[in-house]
Amino acid sequence: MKFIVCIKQVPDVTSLLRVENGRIDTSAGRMALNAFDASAAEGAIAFAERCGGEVHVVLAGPPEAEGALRKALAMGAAAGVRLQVREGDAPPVGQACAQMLADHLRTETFDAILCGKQAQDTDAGVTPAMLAALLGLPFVGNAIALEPDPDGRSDNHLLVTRQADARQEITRIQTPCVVSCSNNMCDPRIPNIRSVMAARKKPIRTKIMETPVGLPALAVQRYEPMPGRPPARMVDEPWDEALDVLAPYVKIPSGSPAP
Amino acid sequence: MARLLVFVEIRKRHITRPSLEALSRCREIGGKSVAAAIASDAPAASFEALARYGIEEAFVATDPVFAPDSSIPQGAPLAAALVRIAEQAAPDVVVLPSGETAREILGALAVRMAAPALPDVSRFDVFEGGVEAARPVFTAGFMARVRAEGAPVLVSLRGGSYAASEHPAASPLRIRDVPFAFDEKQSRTTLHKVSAGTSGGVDLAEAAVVVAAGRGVRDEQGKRLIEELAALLGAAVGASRGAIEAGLFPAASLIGQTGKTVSPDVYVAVGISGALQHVAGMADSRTIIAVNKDPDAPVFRHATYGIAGDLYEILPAWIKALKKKAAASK
Ligand SMILES: Cc1cc2nc3c(=O)[nH]c(=O)nc-3n(C[C@H](O)[C@H](O)[C@H](O)COP(=O)(O)OP(=O)(O)OC[C@H]3O[C@@H](n4cnc5c(N)ncnc54)[C@H](O)[C@@H]3O)c2cc1C
Ligand SMILES: Nc1ncnc2c1ncn2[C@@H]1O[C@H](COP(=O)(O)O)[C@@H](O)[C@H]1O
Repeated sequence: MKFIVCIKQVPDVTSLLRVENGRIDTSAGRMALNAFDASAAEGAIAFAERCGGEVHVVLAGPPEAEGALRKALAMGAAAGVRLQVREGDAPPVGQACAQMLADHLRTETFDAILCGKQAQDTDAGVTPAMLAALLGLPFVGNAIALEPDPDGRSDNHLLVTRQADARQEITRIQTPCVVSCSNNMCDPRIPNIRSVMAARKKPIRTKIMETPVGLPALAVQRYEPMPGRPPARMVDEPWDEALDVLAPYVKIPSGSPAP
Repeated sequence: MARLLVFVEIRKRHITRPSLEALSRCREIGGKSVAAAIASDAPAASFEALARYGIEEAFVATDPVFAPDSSIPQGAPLAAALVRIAEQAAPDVVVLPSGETAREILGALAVRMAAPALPDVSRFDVFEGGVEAARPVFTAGFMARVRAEGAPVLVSLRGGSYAASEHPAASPLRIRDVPFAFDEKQSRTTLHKVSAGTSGGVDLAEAAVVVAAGRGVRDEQGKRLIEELAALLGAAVGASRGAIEAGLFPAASLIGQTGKTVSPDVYVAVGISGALQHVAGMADSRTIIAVNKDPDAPVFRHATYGIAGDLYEILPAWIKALKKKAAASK
């Protein structure tokens, strides 16, 4: 199987981020490979190690985002591509970003495109399904496991386990396909120094592309801090304040002895 | 007046609570110009409930592919049906209840309808030509105010953002049958196997009370305490990543960014540290009661009531005290 994993660089959401004048100030924080994309990359790399195949990564973003590509290469991906809009153009977001990735992927060969289930900065999770629709490929979202087709007869299918709202679904999906991955799929490996050094020699190609135009209008007007909650009331034994909240919900099983 | 179309999700032959919340919010905005979109093998079962929620028009795509035991994954047929329905209903705004189903199809709808998509909003308003909304971003660390223009604009609405309320004057429902037939060959996917895998009988998205376990619940004894408290309260059982990694609770009970978003009346967090990825899935709960032996645990920053102590001592005492309180109030 040849996998192409779509990866994004995001601000480390656990670092110190602040809103100022409606914008999020990320300067204090580090940038990181989106955690769900790291799981997608790990899933692909582990699959290829087990069953044969290769893994490439693609990222749409500025030169500074190459760090995320290097990270994936150090994990074991063979090569990376960075999609870059023309100088002066704003970085594409939402559907424009999906369109740019799709335009690029149309020029590549692959069996499966893996994405993270969502980006940790947008919390959106719409890009994978957009890609599948743009490329006309079957799609499974929120995968927690990825295996070869058990028949072994055909290598043009994958078995993908998906965590749905109320059940788990093992889906047999025909390749080429798009799959979005949960971090419950696997824990990304931490590359050792040797892999990090080796990754420096792996190829990263930069591809300059036109910014897609004519796409639906959508804009973030401003960011705000989350509405806070009042400070917790700490309660001690006999915990009456807390228990009085719960008491109305108590179900006394029928047939239990009267007090 | 803007026309709103609400995708009504049906699970085990019932309309899900987040769908009813979406219907209620849209009725609040749009009055009579709200229609329901249903994709089902047996849609009539839902009509009575729609009328009770004040809905007067339903667009219905009927196909055996939507049967609960269908061997076709639901994403592709649902997306196809909704595109057909929207063509006929010509809405200004399409609202879906957030969840894994919406996650799987929203992007496809956006592409096929050439529509902007606002996923997982916690508030939204409709104006002439578009939608303004608030949605949590950065692992629910910040709120983004967003604005989208287009016809339609697609919105998925987080559960618990608005109350589901029945309509006093139920009126007759007009059914619009939308011609739809799903070509299974188009799907290129089949369901190989399905497993349930939630803990206990109460659905997390529907529950009034959720009792959630963290890594502090470290063994079968702790698990039994959680389950006993949940059973006593008629609550659903949830879990943090820590508790699931310990192998005590099924993955389907995960609450948080990777798991589910819940917003019950009461969320009881037991032995959960309160990492931001967990809080992202429960911060909208009305009352949060947190039990943690570490008085500085971050979970207390989000709690309404905090109890610093050992869950293995506290839960048995609570179970006893709650039984007593309930008996006394009989
Ligand atoms: C991309 C990404 C996505 C994630 N998504 C999720 C998600 O959806 N949901 C999720 O939950 N996590 C998620 N996580 C993991 C998250 O960051 C935390 O690691 C996880 O929530 C920790 O679980 P925990 O609170 O149970 O465990 P811990 O952090 O280990 O906390 C255990 C707590 O129990 C307390 N404790 C121990 N013993 C007792 C006792 N006897 N009595 C009372 N208290 C006790 C301790 O004081 C401690 O605070 C995600 C992480 C990443 C990177
Ligand atoms: N700029 C980008 N470059 C490459 N992949 C991306 C980019 N943005 C989003 N993706 C992919 O789409 C997934 C979902 O992103 P989002 O829809 O923004 O939540 C991510 O986890 C990535 O796999």
